[in-house]
Amino acid sequence: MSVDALLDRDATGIAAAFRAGEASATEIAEAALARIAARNPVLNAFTDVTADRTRARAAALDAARSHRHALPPLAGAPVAAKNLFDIAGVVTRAGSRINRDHAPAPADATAVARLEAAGGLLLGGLNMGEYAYDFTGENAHDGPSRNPHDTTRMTGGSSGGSGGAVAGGLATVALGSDTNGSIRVPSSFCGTFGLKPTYGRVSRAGAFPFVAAFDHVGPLARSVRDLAAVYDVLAGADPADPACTRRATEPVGQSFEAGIAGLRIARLGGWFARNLLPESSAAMEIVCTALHVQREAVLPEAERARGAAFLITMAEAAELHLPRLRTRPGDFDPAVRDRLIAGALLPAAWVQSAQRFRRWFAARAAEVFRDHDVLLAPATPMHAPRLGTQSVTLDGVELPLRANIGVHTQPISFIGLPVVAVPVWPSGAALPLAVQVIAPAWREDLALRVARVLEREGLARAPVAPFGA
Amino acid sequence: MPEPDPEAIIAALLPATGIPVDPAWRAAVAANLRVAGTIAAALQSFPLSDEVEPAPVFEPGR
Repeated sequence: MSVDALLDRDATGIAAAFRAGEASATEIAEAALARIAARNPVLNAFTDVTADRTRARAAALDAARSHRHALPPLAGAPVAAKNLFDIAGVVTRAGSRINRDHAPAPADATAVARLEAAGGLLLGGLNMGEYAYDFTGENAHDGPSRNPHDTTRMTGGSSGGSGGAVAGGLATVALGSDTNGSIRVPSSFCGTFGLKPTYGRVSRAGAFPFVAAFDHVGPLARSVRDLAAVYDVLAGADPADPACTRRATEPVGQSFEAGIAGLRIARLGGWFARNLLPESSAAMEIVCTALHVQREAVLPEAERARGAAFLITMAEAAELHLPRLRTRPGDFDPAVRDRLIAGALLPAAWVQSAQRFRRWFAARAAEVFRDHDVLLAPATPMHAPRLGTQSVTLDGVELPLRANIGVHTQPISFIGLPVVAVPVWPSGAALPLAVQVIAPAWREDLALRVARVLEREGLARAPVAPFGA
Repeated sequence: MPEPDPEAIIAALLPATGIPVDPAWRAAVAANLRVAGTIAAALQSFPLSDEVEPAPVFEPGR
């Protein structure tokens, strides 16, 4: 097998190949950099390539292997990070024009450092929607990231380059962030596995903020075992993130294979059964049929929850960006700027109403989980739309596309629950779509177990798109 | 909650923000405020007991 072909494996598979001597880390690094050179002009997933660092890290791993030192779990696997993560020596653009005037980051974000310490070969920074206020993967400054399964279509966002890099065979694992759906939406559109951990489980230190109340960090990957391995690497206390829990870590590297016997799995009805195009309904049917799901559960007032997330997002993001809005409003993506300005004008009582509703909704979700272990819901109402699409018709009503891609993801991140986005391919469809597998707080293991069963049965998969698709 | 008037909110509050807004942007800002106002009205029409506290993120000692 050529080294280039190795790159279509998952991270765990590449690490095994490196360990077994099938390829050196330097050969893997060079193959990965060559792929970026060949494919990125089309996919526009990478905005920054850290080739010197990649090569230096590869050389260190090769030396460690030749000296028979213990190798970290992901040794030799090419990885990358959304460009809101600090990478030492690289300017953290966070998808914006304004932040690229900043000095290069002096140090790595915690998640980047942990991923590299686990053996990941960091390739660079990835395209994203401006300041993460985006569901499309389109970027006014760097151009859109393009969906590897159809380059005329959106990757989804805001972690658009993360989805494109993983599905396009440029990186095995990509770090993303998810505030309202920004890991789960690109996982759905690009057909990757994605994990949004419990709020506070993975450190956000060194990741440019968006909405402190909802910001999460997690991986997009090609297999459930990679999600589990990367989660175990990322999880853990970090005093540099005030919301990062000091709760002991609960590794999932073995338990994700435990199967689903005895788990009470329900599909979410109500809000989550509405606003679906046929392909999303089909994805839900595939998953519910495979898992023999008979139960339906209702998270009451999910539509209001989505609205409350929308308001808190507007208000927190507006306050965060006020200094830039005052001095450089013309340098924002107009679609982001106008929402931020509106957010700066919200009466305080509107936002407090949303925060109080959040408490109420979290308590209702906890009640639902007394009777169920795992909940299933669509990740997106539709598969990847064509780039530039402005509107979508859901349940007979024409709506702006941009704001409505996340209608099913927002109520879940609103209350910090862990979710695995599981990519499925409705029969005959050329495009994937994900289903959200939602677990109670701190029970990533349950969501990963369900995802693994779907993967094992061949229903969920995250193949690398043939280049030129 | 009465139906909010986005233009009135902009006129009243924008000067307090210090954000220089090009007149060409106002319609989009107003449209976003209108959506926010509809959501706020839905939230404020939902009865919550006085004991339901807001849920920001804060832990003493950190």
